[in-house]
Amino acid sequence: MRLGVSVSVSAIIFFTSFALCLSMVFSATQVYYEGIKEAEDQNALRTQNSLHSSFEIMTSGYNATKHVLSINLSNTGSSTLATRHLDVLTDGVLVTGNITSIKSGAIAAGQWYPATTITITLKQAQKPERVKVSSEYGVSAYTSTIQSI
Amino acid sequence: MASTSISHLIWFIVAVLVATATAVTFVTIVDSYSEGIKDVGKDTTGSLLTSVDFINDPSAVIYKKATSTITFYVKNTGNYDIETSSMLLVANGTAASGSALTVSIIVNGPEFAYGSVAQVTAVVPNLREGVDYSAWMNVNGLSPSGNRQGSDTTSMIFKIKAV
Repeated sequence: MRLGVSVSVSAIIFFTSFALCLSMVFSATQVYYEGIKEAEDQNALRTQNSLHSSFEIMTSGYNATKHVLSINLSNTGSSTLATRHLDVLTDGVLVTGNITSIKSGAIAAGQWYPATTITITLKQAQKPERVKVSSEYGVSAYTSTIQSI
Repeated sequence: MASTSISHLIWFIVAVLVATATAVTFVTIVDSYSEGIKDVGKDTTGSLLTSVDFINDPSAVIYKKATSTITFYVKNTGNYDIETSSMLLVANGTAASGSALTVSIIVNGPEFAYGSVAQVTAVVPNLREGVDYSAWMNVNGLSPSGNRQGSDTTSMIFKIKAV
């Protein structure tokens, strides 16, 4: 057996392992960049929706007889907001569970479109001093003017 | 003549063994490096998809004086679910995690998914009304397969409302 055969076989082993290593690094890098690219896209979409979200509390009224708080809000941004992800706090306490209806006009609103208004009605034991409403992207509106109705 | 052949054969075997051992070592190192790249990618991806926000009224964070218990409301605003067991809350320099935190998903539960709100309570002694405090919270995201992946931190300046 000639010495050249040993060299050739060793070279083949080295080249094969080198090719294997290259494919492993390529595969890992591809997974890395594809995953991050997709996540960056979703993150950018979320940020975009957040930046385009804006709403304000127009009026808020409390009915002491029925123990009902009504909050009228206007979507002043350009994002459509899901009403099921709206949260309400009165005097620092989360009262989202007390919401009885979210309506646009007389119709129950699932989506809250730009330049439209909704009314959130909820059960409330006492007239609150402050009301906060928070959207799905964490954008919020406050009021400390609650009328008696 | 025969001794030359045996000598060549031994050289051949030694050369192949050394080449194989070197190649295996090399592949093992590169494989470990590749797994590291994937892990870093997953963690970065998770951090991009994990997001929480305090939704408390910052001027009226509920504080039970009798038990020195403060209540925060944390909303999942990211794409990933949040692991509630590994939350870390620091309020006025007092850190709480694990069993020191009481976490319950009070809106859109039972998972702490997108749009859900968690009520997080912890014992933080000696807070007074009218004083500005700061709090921050660190959470870990959960990938769709349920593995811990990525993290997010949110913070807030607040006043308490003692009850």
